[in-house]
Amino acid sequence: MAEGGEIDPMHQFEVQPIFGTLGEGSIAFTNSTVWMLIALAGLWLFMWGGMKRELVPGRWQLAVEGITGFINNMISTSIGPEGKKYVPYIFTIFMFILFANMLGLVPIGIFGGHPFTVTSHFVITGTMAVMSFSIVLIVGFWRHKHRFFTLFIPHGTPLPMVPLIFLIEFISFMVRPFSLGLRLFIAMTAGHILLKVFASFIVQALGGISASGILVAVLSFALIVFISALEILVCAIQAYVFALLSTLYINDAVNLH
Amino acid sequence: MPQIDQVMISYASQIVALLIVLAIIYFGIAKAMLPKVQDTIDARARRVSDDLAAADAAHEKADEIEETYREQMNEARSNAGQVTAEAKAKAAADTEQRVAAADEKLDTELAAAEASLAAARESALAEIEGVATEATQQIVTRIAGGEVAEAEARSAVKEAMANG
Repeated sequence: MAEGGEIDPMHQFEVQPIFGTLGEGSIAFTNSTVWMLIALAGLWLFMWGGMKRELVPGRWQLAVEGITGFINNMISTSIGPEGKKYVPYIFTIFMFILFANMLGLVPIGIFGGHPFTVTSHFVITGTMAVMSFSIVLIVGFWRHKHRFFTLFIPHGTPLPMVPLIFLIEFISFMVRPFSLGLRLFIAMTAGHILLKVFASFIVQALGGISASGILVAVLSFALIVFISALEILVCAIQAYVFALLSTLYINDAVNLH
Repeated sequence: MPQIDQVMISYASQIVALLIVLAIIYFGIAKAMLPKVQDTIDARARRVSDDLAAADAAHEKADEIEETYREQMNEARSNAGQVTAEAKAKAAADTEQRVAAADEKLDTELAAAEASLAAARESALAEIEGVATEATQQIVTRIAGGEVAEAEARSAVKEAMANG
């Protein structure tokens, strides 16, 4: 992590090839890939533990059923009974983001490991945002054909205002994939930079043993504890926000208001 | 910022890995495992509601049975009253009939007794008359020394007896 004595808080976001080489258009097996696979394995393990199918659920099964019910509930309140076929997709992105976010926080640094936060790259969040947006477009135009454009004209708009409102609504619609992808990317990146910056404060403050140095180190450590707790919350909230917004956007496509 | 610096050299690796992982999650977990979890939840909900419905049905049936029992009890009670009343009426009628029969028998016996009594009295009176007539004749013969005709004596006796 420390390169030439300096601690670079951005180093943690670096994609490093494990097999193959990085290059324009080349596909390599990287640390990002590894952490995606860990997220996949973790998610599979989590779901497997909840598949005992007992009438009276244990804690694990209850957790799995709780999340299942949570996602179902979110979709049925936003989209309605028609939303059932989008449950697998929303489940996929919600659980993947949740596990990837959380895995970025695992404290394996004390063993010399480097957790990599997959969702701190806008390539990843952007791809998922484009997926959600594509579903909205495909479902919207397939179900409503050209009437999908009425989405941009709210009910009761006075006639002279229609072109202006249409333009504003269209721009806000087109901004959706960017805001969706950037929100998650920025939340993850900022949180991890903050953690590393305070961690580097500790290292630098303890470089020379002095009263003020120890004070700074203790304060920084207290802040790290606090920010770590906050980050766990943010991990869950960002996964929820991404899934919820995707659900609401799909609702627009399914129900047109 | 590596996210920006590395975009051009890492986007393909990241996107391909992401799509593969998401596809595995979608088809391997969300489509395969999730429905089973949902089934378990649904089955439990169904079982609970079924059990509740069965309990309700059992409750209703118990109420029904109680109702039937009460009806039968009421019927039996009213039947018993009727039977008792009938028995009472029959017994009363029977008694009356027997009393009537006994009365009749007694009446006939009484009548027979009265008749025989009357006959006895008549014969007794006739006998007394005969005896008195004879006695009168003998008394007249002994005291007056004369003789009284039987018819005369008899009319005298009759007169005396009629007077008292």
